[in-house]
Amino acid sequence: MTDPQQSAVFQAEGSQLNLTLYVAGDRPNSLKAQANLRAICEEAIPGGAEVEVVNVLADFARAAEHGIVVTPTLIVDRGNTSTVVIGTLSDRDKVLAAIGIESDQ
Amino acid sequence: MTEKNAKRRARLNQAEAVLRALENDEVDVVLGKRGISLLRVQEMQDQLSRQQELFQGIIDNIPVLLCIWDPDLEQFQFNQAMEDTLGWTVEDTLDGKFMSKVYPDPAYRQEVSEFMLSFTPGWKDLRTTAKNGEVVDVSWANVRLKDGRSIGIGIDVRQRKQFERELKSSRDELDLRVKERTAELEQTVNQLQTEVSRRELAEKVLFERSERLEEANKELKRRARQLQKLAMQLSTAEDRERHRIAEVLHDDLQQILVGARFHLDSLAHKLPEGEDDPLLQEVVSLLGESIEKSRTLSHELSPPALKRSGLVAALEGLREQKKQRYDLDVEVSLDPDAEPASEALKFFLFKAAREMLFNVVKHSGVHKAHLSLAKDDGTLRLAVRDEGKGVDVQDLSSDSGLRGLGLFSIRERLELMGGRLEVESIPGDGSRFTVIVPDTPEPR
Repeated sequence: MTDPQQSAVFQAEGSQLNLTLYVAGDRPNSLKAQANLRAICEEAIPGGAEVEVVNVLADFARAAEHGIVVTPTLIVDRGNTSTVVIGTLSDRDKVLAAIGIESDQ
Repeated sequence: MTEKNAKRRARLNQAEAVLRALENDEVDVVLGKRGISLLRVQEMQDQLSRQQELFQGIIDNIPVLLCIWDPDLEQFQFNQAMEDTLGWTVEDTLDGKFMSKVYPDPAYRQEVSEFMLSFTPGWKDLRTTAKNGEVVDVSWANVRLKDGRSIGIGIDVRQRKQFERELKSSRDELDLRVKERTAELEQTVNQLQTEVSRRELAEKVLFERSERLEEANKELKRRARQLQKLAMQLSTAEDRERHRIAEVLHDDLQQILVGARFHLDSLAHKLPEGEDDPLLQEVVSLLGESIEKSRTLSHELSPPALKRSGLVAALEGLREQKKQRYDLDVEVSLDPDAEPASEALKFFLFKAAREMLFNVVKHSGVHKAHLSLAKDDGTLRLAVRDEGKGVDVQDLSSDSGLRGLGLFSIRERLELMGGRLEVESIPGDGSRFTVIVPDTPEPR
């Protein structure tokens, strides 16, 4: 995830879960959000998930198209529902809830 | 819940999530219709904090006095250098009378206040009073802040001022010395001018005296010429008188005496044989002696050769006379062209030669002398030289010494005629007497 313009894949293909993380380059909160999301995916999602990282500094139109107002913003797309999580994704339970996974704790 | 309400609820939740994220400082950027706004609050705070730290570090450590004041000149803030230099702290400003403490003189305080509020560019040196009462020279410049306050930047210029004072003192001292030196020079110039004036005056006096001396000299020369002329006239008169007496002696007295002796001789022959009268013989003898004396006197008064043949011939005759009378061998060296122009001078030189040769006879102790007569550039030189005992020249420097040699009257007459007598003598080695006289013609 060193290059925010490139999408990163945390899980194998075929998953119904699509995650899109909007960041602002390597700003501190954006880096924190990517790190937290990577840890959550690796640890808590058995089937893995595809995560696309979009750098709004490089692709403002994409962010505007999806109504992104701040970064970092995570869009969780589960096919029929879509959930938005804003911030550094440091609240693990909140992220898991958005993804639809019960917390272990 | 309707779909519309569900969407509204979702937007509200998202808005709350955004606000929470903003409150938690978890947002990097905000996206709007016009673009992206970076949110770097913490970073900016950190940066601001660093800048404040840097600024505070500068303020606290810079060796420059910093002072912040309000437009009313009542509230002040200082940096460490200000406190260290002047001793004032913010506590000293709390009573609102800080300006009167730092600038006690009202007029000066007014001037300083105007400067502090004028924001005149550049630096102004102010006499700022420290807390301990010392007046510190500080050079101030003002910078206006947006909020109406001002920052004064001050530099402690005591050392510079001290240098300036020392420089001024040195300059003043130099000026004083220059003035003193100038005064001394002016005094010297005045003295020199006075001296020059005095010397000019002295020179003028000297010149006048010189002129008078020259006049006197001319007068003296004129009188000398007169005297010389008179002397020559006197000599000429003497010569004539001598000649007349010689003629009387020769033509009258001698004839009478010869006639008287002739008559006495005739009378004696008439006496009987053997009756010679001794008295008569005595008278005849005395008459003969008188005739001889008369003839000698006549010759001495007016030597016949001198009158007849001139001085050179007369000196030749004198040589023979000295040989006959005194057994003195006289070598002569006579220039035929050295014949004097006047009769008086002829007789004078003849008489001088006779006197000098007679001195050889009397004093030299030898029977040999040398007589010379020469003429050079209008001057006659008559010299008599011998190789006898010589005379003491020191003695001849006195009149009595000359009188002893019969030369006093000769020297006197010589001086009157513009001539001189030179005497050279080495005791035991001989003498030379030289008469030097201008060959002046007979005065009319």
